[in-house]
Amino acid sequence: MNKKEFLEKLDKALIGIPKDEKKEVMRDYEDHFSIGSEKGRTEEEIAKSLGDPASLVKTIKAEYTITRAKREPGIKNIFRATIAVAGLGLFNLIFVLIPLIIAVELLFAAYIVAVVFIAVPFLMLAYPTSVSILSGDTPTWMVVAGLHIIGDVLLVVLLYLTKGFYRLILAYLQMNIKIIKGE
Amino acid sequence: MNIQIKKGVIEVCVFAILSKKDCYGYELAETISSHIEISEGTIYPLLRRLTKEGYFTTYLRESSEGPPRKYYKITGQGIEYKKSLLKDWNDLTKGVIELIEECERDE
Repeated sequence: MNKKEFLEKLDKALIGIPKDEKKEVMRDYEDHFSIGSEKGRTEEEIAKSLGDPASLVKTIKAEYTITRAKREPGIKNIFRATIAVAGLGLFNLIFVLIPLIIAVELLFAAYIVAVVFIAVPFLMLAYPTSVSILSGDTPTWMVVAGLHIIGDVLLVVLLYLTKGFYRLILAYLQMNIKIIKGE
Repeated sequence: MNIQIKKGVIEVCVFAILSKKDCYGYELAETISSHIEISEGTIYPLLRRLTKEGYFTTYLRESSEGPPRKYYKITGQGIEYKKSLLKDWNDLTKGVIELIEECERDE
């Protein structure tokens, strides 16, 4: 493989990486070839010592998506990072992606509960006839206020949980990148 | 060499070299592969990540021939990290060597 072939393979495989990032990555390898040539090595020798472009790209993509997820927090970016890591091996697809999906769903369900609890007093004010609460002997307003407070507390707890969960996932993914096979 | 071991080893080597002097990517790859067999291409994703994590900064310097070289310079945070990394590495290798010696003595 010569310089042109190596760079073309790399360029093709780097699909999905933003232009600026891709340009910088390509630049690193182009420079590597130029410097190697100056030192008297042939293009073939340099390409061989660099390694297989397709497997280099796997590492590049996984590293890229994780650093981005760290810089720009968001579920979308975490999922991208997870899938990139999962792409390095089937083991990770099963053991990273599925627990992650379940955890996200549980968090989502808990948020809905919190929001409904918080909304109860307002719903009762807005629709006094259609919302009824089984309160037994306790005055209804107490039960409603209680639910509202529980909802508030739950929401705060959830926000902290989400934050912690997010950090945990990122740390776990980074650990995976280092451990996982795929040169 | 086993790929998983090698990846950690390359990181140790990069920190060891950069804490002595600033280097450009090719230089790092050349220095490391003169001691151990590696896929030199893996050094660039590693350098990008460690730079983004704040352990290194980069600057460009003109070269007498060819393109300007992108130099990597270790940061204060990088020096701290290098200390703990080298300590881990020394503990690990010492432990493994001791273990191997013990096993061979028993034979």
